[in-house]
Amino acid sequence: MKRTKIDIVYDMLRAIEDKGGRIIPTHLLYKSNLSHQRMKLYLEELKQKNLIRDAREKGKLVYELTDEGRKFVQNYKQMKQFTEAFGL
Amino acid sequence: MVSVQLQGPEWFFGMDASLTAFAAIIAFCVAFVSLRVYRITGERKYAFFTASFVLLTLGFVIRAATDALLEGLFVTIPGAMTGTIFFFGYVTHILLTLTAYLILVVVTHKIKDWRIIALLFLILVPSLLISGSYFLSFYGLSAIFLAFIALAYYQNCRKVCKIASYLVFIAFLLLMFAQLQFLLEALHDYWYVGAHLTQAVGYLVLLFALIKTLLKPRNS
Repeated sequence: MKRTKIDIVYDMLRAIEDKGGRIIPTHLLYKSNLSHQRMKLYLEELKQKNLIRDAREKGKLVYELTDEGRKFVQNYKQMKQFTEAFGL
Repeated sequence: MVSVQLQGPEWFFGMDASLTAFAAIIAFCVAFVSLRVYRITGERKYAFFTASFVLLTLGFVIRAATDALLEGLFVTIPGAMTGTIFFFGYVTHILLTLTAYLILVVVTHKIKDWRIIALLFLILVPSLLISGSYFLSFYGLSAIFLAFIALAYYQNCRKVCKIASYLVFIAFLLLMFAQLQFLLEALHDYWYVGAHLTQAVGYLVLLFALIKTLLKPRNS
């Protein structure tokens, strides 16, 4: 079944959460199952919505889950149920 | 002076306003949850869905207040003012509700073309204005809109196959039947009572659907 936007965002954030709240770009690319181009677009949007932020770990770029991002992961199932029930 | 004819039997005065207020509360709950989802996702479809339920809430609040005022439940309105309250109260309710249904049709059928949305709106406004009876046009147009929304929800529940989606479909089907009963109110007062009860049951089913979506899944 085709993933909706909300599913893709959840998969990305869940991948970061599973890695302890921080993930390196290559791992996120692999876990989110997206092309590099599409992942870049999603990353920009997630940063704009303050769901993730850039951070540094041993000088390398990592993506860090924000409190908003954690809230999204927690509320995802209810949002998904609401979206499905109301045909959105 | 404009003569105002109140709808429904006299013993039902007050109950119609209460049932409309009940519908307003449930519409507000749906709008509130939808707004929360919009604030998290930022997706436009949730904003439109929220807007439609906010308009429905406002429409019902105005309708309930107008009914209560005209039926003299809280205060006695001077005769000269009843016509004005009747006109502005019900016309505002009609415009808000029909706009809400139009947005719901657009959202549930995922209509993206702005020309079609504009066309729907441009057909809607004159068909109301040139009508001999605002109420007949309103209930007729509402029934048509709700039939299309119920159709979208029928297709959705066939696709999703979840209890909440079936409940949403049943709720909108009941709301459509309520409009048909309102259309028949000229034949007998009991159709008006039946319509209000059907509408209240419809919103109650919608509330159950909303609660079902908010319950945490067991395997989470």
